[in-house]
Amino acid sequence: MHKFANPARFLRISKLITPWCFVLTAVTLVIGLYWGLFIAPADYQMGDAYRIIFVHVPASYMSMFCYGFMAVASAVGIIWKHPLADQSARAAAPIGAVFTALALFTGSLWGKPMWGTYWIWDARLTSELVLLFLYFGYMAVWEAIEDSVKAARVAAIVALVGAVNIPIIKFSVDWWNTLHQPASLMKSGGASIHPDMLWPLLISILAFNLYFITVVLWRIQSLIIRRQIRGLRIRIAEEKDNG
Amino acid sequence: MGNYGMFVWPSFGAVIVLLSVLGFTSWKRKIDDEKTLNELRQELENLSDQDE
Repeated sequence: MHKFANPARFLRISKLITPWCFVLTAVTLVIGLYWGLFIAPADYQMGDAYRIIFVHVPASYMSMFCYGFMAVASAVGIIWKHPLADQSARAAAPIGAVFTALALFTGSLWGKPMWGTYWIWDARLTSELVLLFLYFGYMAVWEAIEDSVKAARVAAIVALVGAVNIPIIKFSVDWWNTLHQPASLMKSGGASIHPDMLWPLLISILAFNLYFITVVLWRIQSLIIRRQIRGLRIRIAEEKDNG
Repeated sequence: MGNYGMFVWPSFGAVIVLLSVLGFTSWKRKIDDEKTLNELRQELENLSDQDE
């Protein structure tokens, strides 16, 4: 693992991977969304409104996955003090924030026809909103603190403390009496969705995962290059002073 | 989609638009950073040549 954590090696390998990830993301996203919108049968109770799950479920799942990724990377950054771990966490934050915003937006569009309201202070919805604020807080720390080492430490602590919200989101529907329905995909005894609806949903989830890999790699590459740019600017300034 | 179109289409639309914008800006930023890095490397090389 440490071998791949070398920034130069990481840059070289990730540049080979990202074009393939991008193509796979585009293909799976088109298949998943088209299948969900036009091929999957309408639900006998919810009609076509249920099609929102093909974007809402992957976005919600990824909002938690991204935060988990950020928390693990932050823990690695704190324990081994490897800058690549901190940069990985930093790169994942805006992606996670977008997924969370999408989960909330698509969820509210689901809520109106199903529950009769766009928003309710339900445990699942509220904990997901808290997650969005955690992402904002994490990104604000990186922007507010100029010293990157200090910013990485403070941001890592924010990420780790906020990680307590992930099991709260996941189990909120079991722990409290909520309007949001309980899990129908990741539960003991297997998924309770018909295969005609399950397959496009799984393909959409795969597409969102591939999207995350592609974009996080681009963003990590960018952060590594920016460090190199800072180093080069200092060297150029020194050369000019000496010359 | 019937009466549910007003809920389904904006959901898919928002996903496509937001993911496209985030993906494009991330890719563009990386390309711009690579360009800046190459320019600075060239500048440093020129400065080193002048010293010699």
